[in-house]
Amino acid sequence: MTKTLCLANTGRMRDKNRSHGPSNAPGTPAPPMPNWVKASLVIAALVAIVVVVAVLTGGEHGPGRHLGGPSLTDTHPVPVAADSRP
Amino acid sequence: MRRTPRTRHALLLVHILSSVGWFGAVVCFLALAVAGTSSADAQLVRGAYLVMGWSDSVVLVPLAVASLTTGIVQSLTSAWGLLRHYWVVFKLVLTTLATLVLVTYTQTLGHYAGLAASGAPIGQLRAPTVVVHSTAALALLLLTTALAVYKPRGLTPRGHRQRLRSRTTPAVVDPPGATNPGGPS
Repeated sequence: MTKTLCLANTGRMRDKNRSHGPSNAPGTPAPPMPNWVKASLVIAALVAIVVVVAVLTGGEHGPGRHLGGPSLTDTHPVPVAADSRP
Repeated sequence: MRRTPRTRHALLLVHILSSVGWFGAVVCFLALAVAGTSSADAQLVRGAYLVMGWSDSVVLVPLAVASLTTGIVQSLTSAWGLLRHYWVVFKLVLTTLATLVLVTYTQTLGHYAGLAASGAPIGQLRAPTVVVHSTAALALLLLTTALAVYKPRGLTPRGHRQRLRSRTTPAVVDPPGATNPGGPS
């Protein structure tokens, strides 16, 4: 059983190395960017656009909110009746 | 840069502890944020914001900085490299971004902690921003952990060039997983 697992792991490592490594010939062009990288970059760009739009339109989010310090006025009041303070 | 197995395991241990600790701290922070924004108990709300303000600078930021620092050291001293594989680059960018936002967010949390300490009405404390930020942080840390576990394939152009160069100087780049089973996690 252990031997089988070791063999399986060796095979997996060999596959992994092959998939990570390009052809060994000198001057081989760089491999194309993987699809998961392209998809992630598109999602990251969309998130960045949403954040920029939120900041520019004075929305609820943005780094400027973090720099307000004591003068921060971004609280969200609710009816004072909810305060059970004596 | 070469490391002994003892150094490698010690670095990996510190990196895993700081990263997992950061994740757990964010989970607790999210629970406090939910309590602070939704509870009708004024004492609980004030206590939640006080603890959030304190734990940010005492727990979250140190863990984030430790995770980022040890991750960079792990990458630079292992076969994975810092800029050779896309998943390592993504993890570096995400962790750096999370750390920067966290450090910057300290001021906001300090503001709310100050309000809570001053006895302001809890209506002024109910800020969805803490829930939004901690949820986003949690999602981001889940993503970075998944990247470290699954290690999706893909060499960057820089990694490709280094791989080709390693044919003439084999000591420069080792096959992924061959010398560092854990990798920069």
